[in-house]
Parts: sequence; C-alpha cells; structure tokens
Amino acid sequence: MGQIFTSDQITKDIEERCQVCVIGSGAGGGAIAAELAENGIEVLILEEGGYYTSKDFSSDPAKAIPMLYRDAGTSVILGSPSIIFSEGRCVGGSTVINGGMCWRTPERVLKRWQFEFGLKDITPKTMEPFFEKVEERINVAPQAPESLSKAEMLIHQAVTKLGYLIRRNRRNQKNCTGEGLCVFGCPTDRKQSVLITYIPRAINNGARLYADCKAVKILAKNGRAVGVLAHILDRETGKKKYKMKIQADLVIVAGGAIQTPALLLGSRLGNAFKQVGKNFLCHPNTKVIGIFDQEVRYWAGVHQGHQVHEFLEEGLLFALGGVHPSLVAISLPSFGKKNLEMMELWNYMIVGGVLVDDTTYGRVMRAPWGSALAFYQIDHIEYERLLRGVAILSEIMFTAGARKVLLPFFSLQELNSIDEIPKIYDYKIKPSEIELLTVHAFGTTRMCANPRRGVVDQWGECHEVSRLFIVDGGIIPTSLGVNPQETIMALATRTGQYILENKSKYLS
Amino acid sequence: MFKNLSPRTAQIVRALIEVLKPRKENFDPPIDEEILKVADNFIGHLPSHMKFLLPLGLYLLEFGTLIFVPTFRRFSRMPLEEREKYILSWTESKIALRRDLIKGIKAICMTGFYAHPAIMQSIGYELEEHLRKINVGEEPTVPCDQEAYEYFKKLEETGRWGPVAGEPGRIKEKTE
Repeated sequence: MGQIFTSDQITKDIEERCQVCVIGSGAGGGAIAAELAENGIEVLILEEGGYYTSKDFSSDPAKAIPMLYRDAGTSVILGSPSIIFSEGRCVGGSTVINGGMCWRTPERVLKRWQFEFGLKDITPKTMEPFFEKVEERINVAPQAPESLSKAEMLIHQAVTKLGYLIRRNRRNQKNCTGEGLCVFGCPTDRKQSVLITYIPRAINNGARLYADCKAVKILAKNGRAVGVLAHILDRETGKKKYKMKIQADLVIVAGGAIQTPALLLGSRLGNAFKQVGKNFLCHPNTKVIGIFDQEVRYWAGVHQGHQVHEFLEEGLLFALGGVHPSLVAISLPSFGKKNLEMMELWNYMIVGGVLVDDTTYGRVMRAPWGSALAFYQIDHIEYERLLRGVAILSEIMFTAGARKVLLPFFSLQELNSIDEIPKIYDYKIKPSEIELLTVHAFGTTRMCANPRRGVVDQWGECHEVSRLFIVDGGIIPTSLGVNPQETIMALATRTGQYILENKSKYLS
Repeated sequence: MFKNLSPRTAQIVRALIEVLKPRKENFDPPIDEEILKVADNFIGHLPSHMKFLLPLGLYLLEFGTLIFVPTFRRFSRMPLEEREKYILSWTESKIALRRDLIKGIKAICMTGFYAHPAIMQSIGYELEEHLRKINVGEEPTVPCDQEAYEYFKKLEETGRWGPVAGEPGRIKEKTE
C-alpha cells in the first residue's frame, strides 16, 4: 500500500529513490502510474496541485476555481484574440474538472498520424485493446435518460429536424444523476475521474504520491534521464517550502501540453531540433447563448448529454455545456444593471459551444522567470470555421425555439430571428473581436517518427533523451476533433505496456 | 487587510466592483466587500506576469481619466454614473487590452456575485433543490426533467437514440 503526501506533512528537504517517477497525475500520468504500479513497478508520482476529495469540493466557484484550476482559471493563450485556457491543477488533473466526455480517437485521425508522422504502429486495430481497457477502468457509459435536462431534449429535437447527426455522449460516470457540477469536481464521485479510479489503483499497489510538489528540472546524464528536482510548495502561498530530489530509472512527464514543454526547456532537454513547444494546437472554441420563451433550466441536468457530429470532418464539433451562472454572466457583454436584467433570464437560456479543429500552430515558450507562455493566432481557415460554427449553432438554437441568440462577437452581439443569420457574414467581424476559450491543448511535444519533426517517438520516448517518456496531450500531433481524455489515457496505457514489455532495458 | 491587493489597488478594484456589480432598483445586496475579498483571493492565484501587469492596468484605469475622458478627477473618485460611462468606454474600446482588463476584473466580480445565495435565488438558480430532488437514491431514479426523460426513454426503447459506440461520427460507414 502506497501513500499520498501533502505539503503540510513535509517538514524538511527530501531525497527519494524509485524505479519510475511520473510528473503529473491527470489523464496521462494517472493512467500510466496505475498501469506500472499494478505490475509491480515502484512508482512515485509528483503533482503540483493539491490533493482534494469530493468532500472538499464546492459548488461555489469562488472556492472551487482557485482550488482546482491552474491560475484560478485565468490562464490565457496570447494572440489576437487571446484565448482563455482552463486546465486542472490538482490530484487527478483536468479529469477532475472536465465534462467527462469519452471518445476513441477517430479513425481518420489515426490514419493521418500514420501518413504524416510515420506512426505506423498506432492503428485502430492496435489501439482497440487500450481503448477497451481504459473504458473499463473509468466506467465509460452512455448517460441515463433521467440525467438529461429539457435543454438537451429541445436541442436533440432541433438537430434531428435539421437532419444533422447528433450522438449521445459516452462519459466516464457511474449512475450519474445529472447534478451538472462536473466543472467544479463531482460532489458525489459519480464522475469517474482519475482521482477516484487510476490514483487509488496506483496507491493500492504501492505508488507514493506527493501533492503540492512541482517538478522544476529533469536530471539527465549521458543522454539518459536519471531523476527529477522538485519543490514542495506551500499550498496557501504557492511558494517553495522544501526541496526534493528523486533518483529514478525512468522519468515520465505528464504535465500537459503547456507545462511539459516549459519543464523540458527549463531542463534544456530534447530540443536539439527546436521542436519543444512548437506545433501547439488548442482546439479553439466559442459559445452562443439562446434565449427561449419557455423555461428550459438547462443547468438542471448533466453537463453535456449530446454532441453534434455532422460536421466533424469539416472540423466543427457542437455541444451544449452546462456551466455555472457566474461563468455565463462573465461572457455577457453587459455589466451592472443590464447584466442582472439579462441574467434574470437564466432559466430561459441554453448555452452551446462550437469547437474548431486547428489549421495553424501556436507555440509554448518558457519565460525567463520560469512560467510557461502560450501563443496562438487563429488563421483565416479557423476564422471562417468559427463564423460558420456560430451560424450553424444559431440555426440550431432558433430551430429549437430560441427567440434571441447572443453571439460571441464584439461588433455583432445578438440575432433576433433565423433570417438574421447572414449578418454573421455581412458584418465583416474581425478575428480579434471573437471571444474564444479552450480546454484542450496538444502538439507541443508531438510524436513523430522523424526526430527533426517531433519530440517523442511512437511510444512516447524522447528522441534525444532515453528513459524520458511523455504521455500527456502534448504528444498528440494533430487536432482530434473530439474530447481528448480517452486518447491520452489509451496512449499512456500503451506506453506503460511497452515499458513493461521492455523492463530489462529500462528498469533496474 | 488584503493578502494580494495594496490599499491603493484595493480602492480602485472597490470602485470598479461598485460599477460592475449586477443590481437593480430595490435590489443591491451589500456584498461589495465580500466580492473584494474574492477578487483578492483570485489575484493571489494569477501567474507571476499577470500579478505584475494587473496593478499597472489598474493604475492606467485610475489615471486614464485624464486621457480618455478627459478630466483631472481619477476613476475611484468619480461619481458612480460617471464611472459607469467611463467603464462603458473601456468595454467598447477598439483596443483589445482595455477591453480585456475590464473583462478580467468583471470575471472575478461575477464569480463572487453569482455564487451568493441571495443572487442565485433572485435569478432562479435553485441548485440545492435540484440536487435534493435527483439524489434520492444511489442510481438515477428521479428525472431531472420529466418531459425530457419521457422523450429520451421513448427514443431508447425504439432504438432511435443512435449508437453508443466509442468511435465518433457516423458509425454506419465504418461497419459497411
């Protein structure tokens, strides 16, 4: 039996020795840590965020967001427009605060990886057992009809009427009743996040987890990773309390597509071909709010029950997203009296989102003071897609019965009928006027058979530094078009199996 | 008193909260100081470069009245109505950075405001009641919405709710 340590339990500098040190405890880190620990490997997990359970979670965003989100949810990807980026920073990572949607990597995407990046062994057939294993471990299941809101019904009816393909979501949940609090951590543990699936598996099999522990440098010798330097942080102030040095046979990084490249750059590793932090993809998305005459209470049900997959191959994904009123109020253009007037229509609102596949690349850099800085500038194709996405979403809202649709554009803020949709194209909206956000990030340490075009090989091992693996979203080389957690977990499980099959090569 | 705001920046944020705070006639709960504390807590979690830039932005807002209004009276000393007009000019500015600063502070205020029980009740966000209603047992037995439940149940029973396979998109094309 392993143990979870938090900063308040630590009173001095620490030196540790283990076979495998995993940095990050989210979708990738949690999955691989459990895979290895279950097979008798001595695993040590470092997590920068705190350790919280459902007893600590709160439906109050003022408490939940600073506790569970990096930078209290204020991370920004710089560009014009800048893109608000949210990711988890706690044991369990973003799986604690995501919507829990689980899709296998689309076949066309895997084919592209083979063709463009030489990832010949990653095929639908070879990935099948890993998807199955992940789905079993995190209880991927369709939503029960009891858990769906009236808004889901109205949108389902509208999309069906329009003849578009709508798919029932598969989520990692057990008996989800539709509390709609996924983004603040599931208060009843019905969402099967890494926090309550993979992490307990790893700990029960002897893994040790240090929460409030930030990896600051990966140590390497003669082209081989040999350990990690970390800081134990004071949870209140975020400042360094103690130092930690870990010696390991193998280092696995799973800090996410923004933090991992910053760690590699700070460690001066893996960047001979200047690929670390390049090729950043962020699946930009924007939202539309429909105002209805009838009460829809879209928040009274599961976070997201369906997705519109009609336009996936065009690079457009549509879904509803159940969020807290404060998060909707932020996105309204008004403040003061007008904001409250609008928010009094809260029970008459449906919030929908469109996610567009990336057609350009951004970059993640390490600032001189050590923080990761992300840059992304949408290109003309993404711009066109965003306009088209907003137009289609408006069409869906009006077909569902909306009397008004609020748009994410600075210069065109609302439409009052379906006939006004062409205004979206007529207004010559500038890219900088679109309000964007994202929760997905990929590509910054991408997999590629050619070391000049990628950072890791098809097993996640760094081309330039042996015994250094990466298993987070950063290794995904292209946009997936759908939610990435199952892909990340399946790839991490596959890497875990590869390490186990090559134990004699990697582990003492 | 505050962990992250200086007395001067707290004064600017306080003046800003008064403008941004959603309210209406006969409904203006005295929660400005609570929201200010929420803002102070959030600011403590900002990345270091933002922690450095935010006070600069706040000072620009405070003394920008000289350029953007123009008046010698700084923002936090203006009457509420003038402050509202001034902030409106920032939210409608063609300079994205000006809009973004207000958006950022607004985000923090709204988080505090709409989490307040009195305000949640006033907009009809009856979360506690919803949670009580649906969590009577371990399994989902009480529908979130009866009409939606009947609609989706019927789709499920008639096999018209679509496939539950893991592959996204159209499944038919794959199996053919």
